[in-house]
Amino acid sequence: MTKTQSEQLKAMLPVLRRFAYSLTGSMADADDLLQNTVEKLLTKPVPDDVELLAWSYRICRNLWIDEYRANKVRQAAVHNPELQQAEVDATAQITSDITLKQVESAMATLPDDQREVLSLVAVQGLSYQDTANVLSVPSGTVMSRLARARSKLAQILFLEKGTKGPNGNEVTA
Amino acid sequence: MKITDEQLSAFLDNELDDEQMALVRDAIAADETLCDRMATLSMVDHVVKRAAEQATTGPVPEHIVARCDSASESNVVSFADRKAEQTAQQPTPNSDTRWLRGMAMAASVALVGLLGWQQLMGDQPGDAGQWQQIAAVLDSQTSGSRYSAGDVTVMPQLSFVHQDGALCRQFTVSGQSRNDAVIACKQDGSWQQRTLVPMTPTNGQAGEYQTATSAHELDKVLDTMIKGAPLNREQEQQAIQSNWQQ
Repeated sequence: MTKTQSEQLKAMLPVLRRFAYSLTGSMADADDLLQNTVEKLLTKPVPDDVELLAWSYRICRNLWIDEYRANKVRQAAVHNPELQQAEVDATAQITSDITLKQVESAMATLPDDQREVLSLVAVQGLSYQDTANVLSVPSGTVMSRLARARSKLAQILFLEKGTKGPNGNEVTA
Repeated sequence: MKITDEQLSAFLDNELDDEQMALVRDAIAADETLCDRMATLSMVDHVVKRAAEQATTGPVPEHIVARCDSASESNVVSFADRKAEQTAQQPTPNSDTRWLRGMAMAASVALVGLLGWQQLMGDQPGDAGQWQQIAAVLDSQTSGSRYSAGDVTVMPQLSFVHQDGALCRQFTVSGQSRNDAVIACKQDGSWQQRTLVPMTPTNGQAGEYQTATSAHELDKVLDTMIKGAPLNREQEQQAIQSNWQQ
């Protein structure tokens, strides 16, 4: 990795960390995944035709698929409070009706392919095409997975809880 | 016409083609429930993003940031700067200044002597007795000055904490039979060599040594080892008092 790239990587760490969190669903796993991602990035040359951020997402996502998902680390961490970082307050309010813990639990119900798409588009703000490039799938696949992810989370977070929707009314499907 | 969640979701992201965008826009205008549904889907994004931001508000762990720093070539420059600064801060006999600079510049990596974890004693050029004298200098002297160690002269140049936690020193050994830049670390009570760079005399000023490659290359090796900044004089003195044990 060149000097410029390692400096860029350093600047990207908060963004990459957020992605790692979105994938793993816990800060303990997220920081572990982030560290492994950085190690991999520093030792693996960045292809000339890929942007560093997209490459970083890809490395992070592949590590998650290969190591965390397969080993059920994520699930273990979710259910083991000792693996959670003390400073993350799971009871923190994300909205007036929804806590961080509830969002994490809802995200954990998503299939991995939907979870990673939602993370890249909703959290990281990537376009469908950029997401498709990171995941090596057609952009149409991104569109359908994303819609299913949003629908599923809407159902869990707003409908099943009877949470008031953004208009202040009970939301309907 | 029924508008699906997939269409609404993509509309939300402005990812439909113009015709589809217009179609959904008209449908929303005609059906308030579609607007509510789109707001709900949008709220999912808001909640998920905010949760990720909330959970990651703390700083990125320092060791991960440091890993990026250590890999950055910019750190090689800053490392060299720090080394120069440290050398400048330490008392050095005027007559040795040019010589010291020559030795520092000579610290490059032609062979970078990636000799591994060899015990200096026995594996070093020179005999065990010579090494004991070198080790005595490393144990007892701060960086920046030359010290006689039998038939060689030893100059500690820099001290630092290795990423594995050991305290290490970069130093030069010069004499009739050898002129080397060496990095050794104190482990299990003895100094162990990590890197050795042979230096050859130049045709320039008497007493100057250099190798064919740049000093920055040795700094790259150092940057793969060093954790944090080099020790300052006070920290070196503390290390001497603790016999270089962490």
